[in-house]
Amino acid sequence: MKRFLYYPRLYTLIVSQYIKARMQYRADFFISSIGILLESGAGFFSLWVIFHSISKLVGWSYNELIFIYAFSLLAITPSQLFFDNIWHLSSHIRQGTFIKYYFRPLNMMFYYMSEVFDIKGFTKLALGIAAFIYASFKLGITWTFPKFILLLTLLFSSSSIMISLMIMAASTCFWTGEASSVLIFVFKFGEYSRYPLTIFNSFFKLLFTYIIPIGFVAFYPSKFFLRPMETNILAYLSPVAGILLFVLAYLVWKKGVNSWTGTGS
Amino acid sequence: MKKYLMIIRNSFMSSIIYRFHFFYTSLSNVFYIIMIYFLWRAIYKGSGGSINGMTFNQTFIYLALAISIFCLFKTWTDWGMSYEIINGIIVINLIKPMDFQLLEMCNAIGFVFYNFITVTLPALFIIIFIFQPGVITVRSLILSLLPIVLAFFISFNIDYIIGLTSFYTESIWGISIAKDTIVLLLSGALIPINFFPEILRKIVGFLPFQAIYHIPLTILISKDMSIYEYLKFLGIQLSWAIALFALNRFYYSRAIKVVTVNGG
Repeated sequence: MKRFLYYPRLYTLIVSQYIKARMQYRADFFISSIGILLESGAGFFSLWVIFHSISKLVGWSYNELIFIYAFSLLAITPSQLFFDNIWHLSSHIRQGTFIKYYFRPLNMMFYYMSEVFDIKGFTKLALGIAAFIYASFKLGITWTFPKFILLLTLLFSSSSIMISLMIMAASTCFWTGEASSVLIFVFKFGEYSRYPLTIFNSFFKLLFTYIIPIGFVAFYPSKFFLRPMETNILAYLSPVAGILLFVLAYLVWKKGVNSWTGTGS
Repeated sequence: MKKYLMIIRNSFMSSIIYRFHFFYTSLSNVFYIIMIYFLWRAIYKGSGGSINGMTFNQTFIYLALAISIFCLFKTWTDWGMSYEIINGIIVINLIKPMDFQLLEMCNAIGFVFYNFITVTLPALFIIIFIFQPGVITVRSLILSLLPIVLAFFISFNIDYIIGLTSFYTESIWGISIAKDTIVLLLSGALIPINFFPEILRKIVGFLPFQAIYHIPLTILISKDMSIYEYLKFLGIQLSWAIALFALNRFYYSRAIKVVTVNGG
């Protein structure tokens, strides 16, 4: 039990130090937030422009697509807030500074990820929440307590899928020494998760459901709220997929950590 | 002249070290092209063949080539300059007997060659042989060569502005992200400008971004462009190129005064 409380307490300590350090560069934080806001808002802009010419996209309305997009933004946010250090793994590996994480009596993944808490992610979160409220208001979705719990569960599993994919992508650098291109590759898939899977042909539908499960990031979970009648059995698998994938990602990471030979300096 | 050619060669040689990198960048681009293929096929489903005067084939080619050009012009000039200023390495480039802007441009050109071989060429093969759009003619291909060169020049100068800004701000992460988004959106690289609402199309017409993607791409996909229209497009690009170049000359003369590098 003591051990159980130890980690959250440690996390707040490490993160508060990090935030203090970051706050030295207030201007940078401010400009970066605007950058992220534009980057995430660009998708809404695209939808808005596209729906000037059409009224439905394979049977989905503008507001429904906003809902799915907002869902995917919310699902991607935790990976940015809590796991942003993943982008620096390659350089730690190449310069050998990763060695320090072996010497602490802590879970290595926990210690490594706790070192960066990306405050810029809050901008994405705010945008996601605003769009989500807007869309569910426009669509007339009534939020009951069970529905809300369902939403939180689904968001949790969606972000777990995204985080797991990113961890697996970054872990490749334990063997290759460079993972930024693989990370960008996977990160891009997160962006594709904002469209209904039904636009793809059956091959890519299968690919995005079973092999690179980005369908579970936003589309399948959103269907619970948008088209409760049409939800297929797969949607119920979202939480299972989330947990299984994280276990898998952890194993890959663990294997990588154990096989890394260091740089010798 | 020879020294600048050497810079291009060096920059090309140092970028091909990351062979593993290029595989994923290329694959990522291919997936993006597949994604827009299906997305726009879905958009065109139920419409009578053409939206806003563009057929599905034209729109698809336009967007697929836009992202290929985006990858081609992705030379990281702004990131590189910011890195140099933070680490102080910029001193080495400043004391070289070369023009700093030209030096950075030669670096960028080396990168463009690398990008062309690794990303743009595979993408072109996929577009032409797998999707077989049949929109591009030899004539339009030849006509679009000069506009693409001018587009690179404009794109480089926009990156260079951001790079010079790092002389003041040092970190440019946010500015660069914002720049990439604005350029992609307002240049028509994500959605063809023909789809924009009337008022927005007018505003975009006054900005330099459309000269990077919209102009060369329009020339590429149109079958019968009149010589008058072609020259008008070239004129717009040329004026932006000269304006941005002049702006950067002025900006550099101001920005260079604030550079401080400690020790060395």
